[in-house]
Amino acid sequence: MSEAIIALLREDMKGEHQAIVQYLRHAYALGETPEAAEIEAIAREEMRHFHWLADAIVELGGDPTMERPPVDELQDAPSVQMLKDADLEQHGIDQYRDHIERIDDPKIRRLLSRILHDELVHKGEFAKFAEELDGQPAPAQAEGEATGQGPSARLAEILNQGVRHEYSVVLQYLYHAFMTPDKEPAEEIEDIAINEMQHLGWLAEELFEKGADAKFEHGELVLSDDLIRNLKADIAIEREVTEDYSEQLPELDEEGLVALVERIRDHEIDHTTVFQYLLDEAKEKRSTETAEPPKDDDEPKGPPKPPSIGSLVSRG
Amino acid sequence: MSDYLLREDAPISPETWAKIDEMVVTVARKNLVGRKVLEIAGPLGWGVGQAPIFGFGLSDDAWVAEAPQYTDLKEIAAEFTLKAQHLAMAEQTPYGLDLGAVAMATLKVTAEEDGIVVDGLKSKAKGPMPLGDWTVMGEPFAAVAQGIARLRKAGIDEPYALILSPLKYAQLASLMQHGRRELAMVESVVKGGVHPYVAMPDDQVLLVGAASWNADIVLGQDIVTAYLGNEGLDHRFRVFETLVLRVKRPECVCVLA
Repeated sequence: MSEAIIALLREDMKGEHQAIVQYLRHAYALGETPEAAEIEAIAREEMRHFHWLADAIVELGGDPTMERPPVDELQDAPSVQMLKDADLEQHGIDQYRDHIERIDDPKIRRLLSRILHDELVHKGEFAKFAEELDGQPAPAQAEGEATGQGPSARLAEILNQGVRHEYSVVLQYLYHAFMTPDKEPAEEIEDIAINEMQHLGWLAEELFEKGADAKFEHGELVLSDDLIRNLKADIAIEREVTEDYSEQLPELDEEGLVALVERIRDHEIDHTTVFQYLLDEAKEKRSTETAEPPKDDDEPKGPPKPPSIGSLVSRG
Repeated sequence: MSDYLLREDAPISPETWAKIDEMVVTVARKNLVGRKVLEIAGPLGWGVGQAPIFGFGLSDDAWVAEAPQYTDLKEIAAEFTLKAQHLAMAEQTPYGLDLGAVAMATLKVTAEEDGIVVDGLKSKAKGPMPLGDWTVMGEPFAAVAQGIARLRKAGIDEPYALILSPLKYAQLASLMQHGRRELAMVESVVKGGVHPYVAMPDDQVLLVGAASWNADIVLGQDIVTAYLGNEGLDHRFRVFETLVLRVKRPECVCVLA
């Protein structure tokens, strides 16, 4: 019976994930407007739903999903985008009603009812936004393509690499946090995931401001239930992206963008330190529990590849 | 690559290696001046021992690279020792491993690299052109502008970079009148940056046309740490690199003195 419930909740998680990404893209495309701020607030509520569903799945002994269906391609006028969001909410509403009918567990039913209430409110809000935005033209990146304005291909590539990385680590770290039974490391990992969400937002907003699209695609994720394995993967990806950002900095001309990427890069260095501390603690705990030295089959047996210093030229 | 550097033979953990490497990179990035001015060709690898320097000339009304001259890359190095007792202390106490010796060795390598680059540039410089009094508002900008004019006349275009002593930099930075900062005015025409360099004499300033077709630095092995082996219970390491300065157009350097 649990497996059937877990399967339904995983479908709900996919829906929430789809909503988060779609709503954030629509908000970023609207720029600094009151509607964008309200849509971002709705996206944050969907993130809470995503978290609650993941916790429920883990409590049942299952495995949260990081998959999602495709999102809207941003080719329509804002009012049409809002109607699509309202449709997405309606799809969620229908799904939650169906799942509530099919699930006996009272705790899960209460959870889904709580979420359903929010989705009903969201649908109304998107309908209101559709009226408010009626008459506005299609997104800026279409205009950018027409006028030839917009970022250089290389700048868009750099920023989208950042978006891809940040989106990947948000999903990876959230999964690790969900699957970690100990409160302290779970909270630390989730804090870092939230910081990565900030990075994702900053970089995506830069792209949209410059008239380009932020492609919310992720790379390969390490999703296991072994804390030590997860933390090693997290350290590795932080080191890799720190190096990437450092190498890309000299290619950026805009002072504000350099400061932003430096800030993000320095956060990633802090994350590495936190993950390393958590890893040391986890290894010590495991060796105490098993009274044997932890097996480090995944750990590289030799020293790390030495980093290159390279060019320090900043042409700006 | 690690095999040649004997890094796997060092009886220290990958985490300790990462801290050593991070110290080397951090100190090098903070202190290197030449690499902030000139572009890098490479790293090409430790096995590369020579680099070609091409001259250019007109043949049949077309610009063409002439037969290159090959110049040797120089290896510069400094060593440090990690005492076994200190490694044990790092494992058994909360104090961690003090990497000051790593920083000192890296500083020596960076100082030597910059010596090669800056002295090499100076040796090619024409001039000198008048430096003026850098305690008087307007004189630094005038001196730099005249230097740029000479470079432009010789066909050297932007970006230009300035290398000067910390004292000269302090003099430049302290000049302000009616809200105008002399440093900002100089930086507006020297897009390659104004770079303090500790070994620069106080009575000289170097102006360089910093585009890669004028001059660059060829790296064979970028700064890296190798393991040399144990001395008793202690462990010796070498921080080293190989490089050469290529000045392709000597007219790209101007000394103000």
